[in-house]
Amino acid sequence: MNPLLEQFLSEAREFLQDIAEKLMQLEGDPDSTQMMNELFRLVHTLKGNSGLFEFPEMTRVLHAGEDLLDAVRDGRVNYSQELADRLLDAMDFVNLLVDEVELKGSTGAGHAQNAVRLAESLRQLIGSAAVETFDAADTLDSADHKIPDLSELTALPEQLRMALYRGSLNGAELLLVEYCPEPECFFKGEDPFYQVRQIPESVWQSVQSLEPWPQLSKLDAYSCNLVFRALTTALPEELYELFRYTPEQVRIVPVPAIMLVLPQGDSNGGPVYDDFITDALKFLDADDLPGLKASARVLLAISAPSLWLSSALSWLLLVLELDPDNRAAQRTLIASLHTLTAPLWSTVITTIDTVNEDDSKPQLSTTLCIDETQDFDAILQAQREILAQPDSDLWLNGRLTGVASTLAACHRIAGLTDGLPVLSEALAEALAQASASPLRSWLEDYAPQQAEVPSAAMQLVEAAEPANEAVEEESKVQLGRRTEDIYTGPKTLKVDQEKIDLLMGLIGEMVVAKNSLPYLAVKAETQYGVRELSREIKSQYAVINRIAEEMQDAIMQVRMMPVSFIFQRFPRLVRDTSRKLGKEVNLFLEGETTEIDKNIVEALSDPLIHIVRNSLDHGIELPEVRRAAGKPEAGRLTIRATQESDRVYIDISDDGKGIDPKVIKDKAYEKGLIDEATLERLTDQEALNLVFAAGFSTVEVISDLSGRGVGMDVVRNAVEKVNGTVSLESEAGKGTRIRLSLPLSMAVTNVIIVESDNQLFGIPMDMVVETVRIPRSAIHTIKRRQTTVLRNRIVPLLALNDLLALDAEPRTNEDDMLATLVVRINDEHIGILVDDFRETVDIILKPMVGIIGGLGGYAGSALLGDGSVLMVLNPKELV
Amino acid sequence: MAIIYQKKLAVFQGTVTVEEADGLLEWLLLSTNSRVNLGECLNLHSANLQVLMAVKPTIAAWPKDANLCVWLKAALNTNQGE
Amino acid sequence: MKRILIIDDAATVRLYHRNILEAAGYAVEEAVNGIEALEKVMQTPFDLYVVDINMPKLDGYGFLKEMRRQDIDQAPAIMVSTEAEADDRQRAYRAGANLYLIKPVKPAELLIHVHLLLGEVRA
Repeated sequence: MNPLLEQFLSEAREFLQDIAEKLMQLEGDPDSTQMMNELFRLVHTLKGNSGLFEFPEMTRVLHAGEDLLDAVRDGRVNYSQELADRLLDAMDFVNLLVDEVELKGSTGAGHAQNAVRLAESLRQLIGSAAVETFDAADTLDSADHKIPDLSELTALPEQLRMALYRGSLNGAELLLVEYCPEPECFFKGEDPFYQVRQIPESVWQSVQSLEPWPQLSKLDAYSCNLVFRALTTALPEELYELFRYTPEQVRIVPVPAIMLVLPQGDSNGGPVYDDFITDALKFLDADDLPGLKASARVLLAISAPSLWLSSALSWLLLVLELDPDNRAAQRTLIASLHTLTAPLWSTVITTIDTVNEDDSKPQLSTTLCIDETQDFDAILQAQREILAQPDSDLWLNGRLTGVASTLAACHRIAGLTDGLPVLSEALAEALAQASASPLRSWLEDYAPQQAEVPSAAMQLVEAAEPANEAVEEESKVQLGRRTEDIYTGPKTLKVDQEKIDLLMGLIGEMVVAKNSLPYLAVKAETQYGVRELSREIKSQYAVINRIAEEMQDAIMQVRMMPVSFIFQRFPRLVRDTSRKLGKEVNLFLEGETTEIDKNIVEALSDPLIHIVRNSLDHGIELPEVRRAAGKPEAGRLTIRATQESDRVYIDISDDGKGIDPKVIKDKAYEKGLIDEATLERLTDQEALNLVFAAGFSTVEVISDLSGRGVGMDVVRNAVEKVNGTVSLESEAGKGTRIRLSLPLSMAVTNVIIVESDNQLFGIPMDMVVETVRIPRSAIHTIKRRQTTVLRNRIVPLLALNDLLALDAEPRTNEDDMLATLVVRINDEHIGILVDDFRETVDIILKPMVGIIGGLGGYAGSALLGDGSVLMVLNPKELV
Repeated sequence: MAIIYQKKLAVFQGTVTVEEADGLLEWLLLSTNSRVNLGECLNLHSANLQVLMAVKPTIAAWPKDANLCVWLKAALNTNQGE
Repeated sequence: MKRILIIDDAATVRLYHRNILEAAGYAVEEAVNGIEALEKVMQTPFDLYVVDINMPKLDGYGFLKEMRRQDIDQAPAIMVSTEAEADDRQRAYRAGANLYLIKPVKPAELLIHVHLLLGEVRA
């Protein structure tokens, strides 16, 4: 399986679990906006991820979930149990799809209807904004119309219809596709006409207006008002696939072969064939098909071919040949000679009853649709099996009564009321005899096994089956996978991340523990005077040290992942997004093999997607605009990863329109993020940095692509969470570059130990630019701030003692030099004056807890080899 | 241009995109008895299709592309709304 | 309004069925095992039962047998199970179920069956 997909799957599972947990937590605390925001983010991101693959059903449902949560966030909709339930349902569905993806690598189009249903059930909760409301009852209602009126099929040449009829009975199922695109579909880039033209094997086409065309002056060419229909012998799967993105606008219905039997022609002479009709029905009653055929052939031979009669007779002969048991159809066809009008098969089919011998008065008062007929049969079959159970059970009478009420109910709904009075008698008898047999005979009488007498209705069922079977087959596969052990030996071992984290923690402790050995060696020599032992400890230490370091490296390696994991998504993302936007973009990926810690890779994926989308959405211009600006039509987007010592840089640069600092300033002022004085004072670069400010978004209209208000501040926060930094450079008209600077790994922190006021502190090395000793004479006071010049750069100086509120002056060394630690904070260099530098060590940083945890300025604490605790500073918050 | 407008005849060529629909409608409304030649048309966006269906101009030539032709005839020959 | 009792120990399954049925306009109640279900039925019988098999305290078979035997209610019951084994089906029928469906039951499938078993004539 391709790693991206694998990554998606494991991420999706985590997300789904988180989503479920959040939903549960929200039940206890429905007003928590923080939790709601987090939930929204999860769904939002998962949707985004799924959009990178061909999982339209998954995306559809997640999208609806996202919209719903968005509405909740905005206070348009209140959180409710119902809402949580439906979201959970939707996530179950997504989980199901994830399972399927894992099993087969893709999702089948068979889920489309469910996706539509779930998405609608979510959107329904949004209320007024809902596009369509879903009501489960609709499903049944629409099922009523499942057999369409296809009298227009007379437009098809009779020869063709006959060929199709023959084919259909031979298994080439005929399907009707009805596609009613939504009015605004053109704005979504859809072209329904093109779409329907892709229907394979279509034998009949129809295009009509949905509503009558308005006055031409009021005609809106861009509001789709079309209904397409086609008959095809293509496989249902092909059609579902073709209309995968708009399943809710398409109906695919099997057309029973009999629907093609539409006699046509000259009705000249009127109905004068009564003798023939009487004879024909007699033949039929006597099961004398040869006689009926002969009689029909004689009449056909003496009739002009153009007559309606001839057509009907030809059809009758064809039906007798191909579908000899379909008495109902034959009877109806013969009866149609009375009226010389084509039979309305859609009514006939559903009113056929196998027991009913009287065709003048259909027995069914209400009709069943295909699905119902199928399920009706299933229920009858179940009752047969129930009645076949042993009669000895104590609860037999209850069971029999249950069967009787079941039979009564479903016969009533099917309109088969004749047997109902007898049914109560049969039940009474059965209870009296303590035997199922009276009910069994009732079933024999009123609902014989249909397999013995195939009817048109049965064929309908069969015709409808293949698609359903495919679906059932699918769900069986999934069920099988859940319950059974279809275990294919994996090539790689999947390990729970927690276990790796545990290993990482342990090795960290080991590194610290081994660091105590040198102290022990010193102690052995100085305190106990055992020099020999001291030396031995030292040599053992060297061995342990080497092993520990290798182990640490190895574990780190396990956690390292190539950035290609996230880069892989981009070609597709860029392609799709730029296509949607009508832009041309060439994507260049560089340094994909650069490796970085898993946590960081994960933390990076959202921000990167966001940056790339931003770039496509707002950076790169439309081809016309670019041409006008003298640039090549295709924009250039580069994503490059590079490693420099212990940091990895990811640069996302485009050659788009860049960012105008003035626009940023004005916007920030407008939004109240800066005051007038600041507005005047800000440099261009400072203005650009404002895009990272919370609550800032340059585009007013929330675009479909960049998402909703997940702005650059979120990107910055996500990057900073993993000790990374983000910076932006832009030149109006030329393009924008965003650089993420990230630590290679986050498990072990390399800190430099400094001394100040006789205390030791650690400072993360990833913030340290350099350590220098500055002569006191090189310190200048500018505007009451102490500064010095380092490499042609003014560096402000701050004493660590001051920052920590320690009441002492920085100490100089014997040469009157001040130890200065230059750190980088928001791209600015600041010198921190300390008393002295010590060694650098690798430590496992433990976050601060308790009261100290609330204090800014500390990144955490760490245990040193000698057992002492080192406080690690966070200069960023300190300064 | 995917549609070349002559005095009384619009000649469709190749792929006629969604953007053409407004222009087509305008042209059809301005000139009476106008005809359209679809002979060289390969793809016709739905928006143009519905303009043709609503205005019903005379078709001077049907597309050579068989699939397009059969669908267009289904749409334009039986032009009844519901 | 027809009343339906869902008997299942898994809340997700109960919710799943409840959503489907409520959306179709049925009044739905829940029980988490056979005992609780019997208690509810004895108070007021329902029009239809949707019964899971494996449940703590009293399983679906036990529930149905008891209900049928004591003549507590003889309304149609659908047994829903993840097992597609023929044996289980027969066992369910013997216990007094009127239909046996395999989880997960698709909403439309469930609705059509419920509809038929309740003998409701559509408007």
